[in-house]
Amino acid sequence: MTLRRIAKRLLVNGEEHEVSFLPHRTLLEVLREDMALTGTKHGCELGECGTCTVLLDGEPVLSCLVLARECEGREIETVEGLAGASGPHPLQHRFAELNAAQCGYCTPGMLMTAMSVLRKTPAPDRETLRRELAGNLCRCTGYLKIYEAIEMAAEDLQDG
Amino acid sequence: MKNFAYYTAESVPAAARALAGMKNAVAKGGGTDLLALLKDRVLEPDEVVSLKGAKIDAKVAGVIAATTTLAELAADPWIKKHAPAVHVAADEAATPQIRNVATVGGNLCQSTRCWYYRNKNFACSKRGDDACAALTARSQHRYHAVFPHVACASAHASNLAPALIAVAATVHCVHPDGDRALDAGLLYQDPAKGRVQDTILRPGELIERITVPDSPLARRSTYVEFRERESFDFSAVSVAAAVHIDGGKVIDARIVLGAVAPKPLRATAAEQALVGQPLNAATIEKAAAAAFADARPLSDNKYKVVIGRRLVMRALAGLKEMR
Ligand SMILES: Cc1cc2nc3c(=O)[nH]c(=O)nc-3n(C[C@H](O)[C@H](O)[C@H](O)COP(=O)(O)OP(=O)(O)OC[C@H]3O[C@@H](n4cnc5c(N)ncnc54)[C@H](O)[C@@H]3O)c2cc1C
Ligand code: SF4
Ligand code: FES
Ligand code: FES
Repeated sequence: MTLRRIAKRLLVNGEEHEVSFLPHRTLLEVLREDMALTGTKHGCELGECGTCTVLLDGEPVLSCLVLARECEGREIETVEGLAGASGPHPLQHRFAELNAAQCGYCTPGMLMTAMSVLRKTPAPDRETLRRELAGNLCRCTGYLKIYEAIEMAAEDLQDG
Repeated sequence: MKNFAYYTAESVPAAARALAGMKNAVAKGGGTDLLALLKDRVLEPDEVVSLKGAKIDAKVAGVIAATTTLAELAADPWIKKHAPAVHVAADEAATPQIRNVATVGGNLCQSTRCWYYRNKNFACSKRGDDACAALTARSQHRYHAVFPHVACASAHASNLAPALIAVAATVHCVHPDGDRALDAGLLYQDPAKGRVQDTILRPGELIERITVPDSPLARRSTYVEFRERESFDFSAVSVAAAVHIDGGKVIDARIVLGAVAPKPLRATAAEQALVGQPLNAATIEKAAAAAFADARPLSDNKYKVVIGRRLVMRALAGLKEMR
């Protein structure tokens, strides 16, 4: 079988990109290797860890288990799109302030899942956070600081 | 992952027709299981037919399109009210990210998590080898079957399968040679050497819809599972149960065990222990004992029998309180 690349238009962080890649590539591989967006991390590759989480049409999905070609015409958001013109997103501020990232490998996935939670639930309780972040594993922090950082960022966002 | 030719289909019957004309093809729902199998080269298809764009008319209450995601199913208010077992099973499966992508058809047709099956360095009779690595003296089999089959000791991983069987759902399958509708319990077969799939689906045959009946049995249903990790995990044992009680007596019951055999297992002896009886502490205990009477656990998974019995009791006690 020939390994001919396919060309697709991918909408990543609000910008359209014409990308060519091998037809069986996952979204994770295309983001990292064909688009040099290495913020999204490559962990288990099997759906177990959540570090590859990106938002697809606003919903968190595992980019390691999605074919890039099936993302054409859909809105893809990665950690690179979080910071705005005025600097890091409140989530990023609070993660840094509370040391909610230690080795940092889980952080991009945590941030993206947290982002989707805050859009749906501006003031999430602890139980909601536990449930919604259940698919994002962290081997360093023990999760407490992550929950606290998200709760503080939620308040920041509500205060404007 | 080996490269493959990729096709989409506008409907499930069109996908079934396309598959029937191919030699080494697989269907793809959300891909959350399939992509892992392709990466590990357990499967090496030449063609992948995606059901992503397939339109299925499923607007009627109780009709679930095979391409419905687990997240959509868990959010379906009709299902929550009329088939609570199915609601809980979908809601408890995997992680939020996976539920957003994984489909109902794919969940029913997913492969076992047996780590020997998924690692081609080990012998696996399901993959066509003469031996099964899980049944050797030094194997690691704590998540494997406690009702092993001679050919395979894998545990069936689906949450939804036991729940849909318990509520007596019907699975509607399409194939160019003729469509058929079957009780969800008849979707699965015993393992055989060289057959990777657990369902009776013929090559190219696909699930298009599942219908959940509006019945007293389905309304009084529940799903409970035990898993090692609370945040998310495959269940080590699960129980879906449903009863129809009339005049103080059980007139119909379905008790289905998950993750204890290569296919979801209807505990018919446990069901028979209930029918004609009131649902009380004594009959519940009898049913729980009957459910695992024939279990032959391996050396490292006896715990599944102990916990499984408790889960049957917990499920039935919950149904007793439910109205
Ligand atoms: C980390 C992790 C945790 C998980 N935890 C759980 C859990 O707790 N409980 C649970 O039940 N599952 C669990 N799963 C499994 C998950 O639910 C399945 O991977 C998913 O449901 C499969 O659906 P899919 O649409 O992605 O299927 P795909 O990966 O696309 O397909 C799986 C199989 O089904 C076939 N198929 C797909 N659609 C159809 C159809 N319409 N007709 C016939 N065949 C079809 C495909 O050909 C393929 O063989 C977990 C998975 C992961 C990775
Ligand atoms: S238990 Fe079944 S799937 Fe696992 S290695 Fe043995 S034959 Fe293969
Ligand atoms: S890399 Fe995708 S879930 Fe681990
Ligand atoms: S900070 Fe190291 S895995 Fe989370």
